[in-house]
Amino acid sequence: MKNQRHDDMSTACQDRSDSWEPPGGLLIWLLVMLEVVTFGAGILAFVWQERGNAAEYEQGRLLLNQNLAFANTLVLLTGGWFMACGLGALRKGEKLCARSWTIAALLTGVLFLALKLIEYRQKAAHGIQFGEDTFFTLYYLLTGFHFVHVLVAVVLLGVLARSVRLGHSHAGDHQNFEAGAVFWHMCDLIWLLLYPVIYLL
Amino acid sequence: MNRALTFIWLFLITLTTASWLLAERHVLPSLLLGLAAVKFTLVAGWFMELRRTHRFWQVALGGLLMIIITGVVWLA
Repeated sequence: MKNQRHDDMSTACQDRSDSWEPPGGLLIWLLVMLEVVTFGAGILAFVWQERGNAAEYEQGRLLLNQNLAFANTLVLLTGGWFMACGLGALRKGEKLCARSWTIAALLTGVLFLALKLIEYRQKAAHGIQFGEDTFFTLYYLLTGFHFVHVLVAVVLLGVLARSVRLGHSHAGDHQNFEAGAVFWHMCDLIWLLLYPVIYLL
Repeated sequence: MNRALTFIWLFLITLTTASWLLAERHVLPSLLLGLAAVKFTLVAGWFMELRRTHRFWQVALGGLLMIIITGVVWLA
């Protein structure tokens, strides 16, 4: 029990409340803020458009696959947990463990993309395309833009897993790993806002 | 494996399942958005380690979240 508590403490990140530099560095956090603002504006535009197109939105939401979106939310949250565990393992110097967690997170990213492609194929099978109406134009814009971010994050996770294997990321210097993890978690954050607004409301 | 992170992950999964079930019962949009805001805060605080950073970053991201959620509730 005591050892477990000690492990938990050692995997926790250092307290940086006195420093302006967040985990991963300033640049990645400026990017996070910019992305949240961009997606936030898109989400507000999506909701704003509902005012003049209520019937279209109601019809559109009925055509969305809520089960796939729910599964995708669980997949992304699980990937976020994997990556947080990977960073903890790296800080403890457990490189093999850190690499395994990172690859597991990467696989959740691939699963998310696969499920999203299934959803897009279902829409295409129903003849629903980009530009179909306001609802589906904004749906494709927002989810498609997010899809690209997850795709980039999956590539980044692959690079991180490789860098851990080659010894470029280690317990003493892991800012690149932290920055990659922050980008990956940013995809979670954005999806957590998109999911209820597009699928559940 | 960090027990605190595992607990947070399980809580996130529970909240997501709750919002999925509540949406089928057509509850108030503000309740679903509130649950989303809680999940957003947990991911940012624990997975992104925002809880241990300078208050500026906590206020900045928290402020953006509040603007977005308030805007959606107001417009919906």
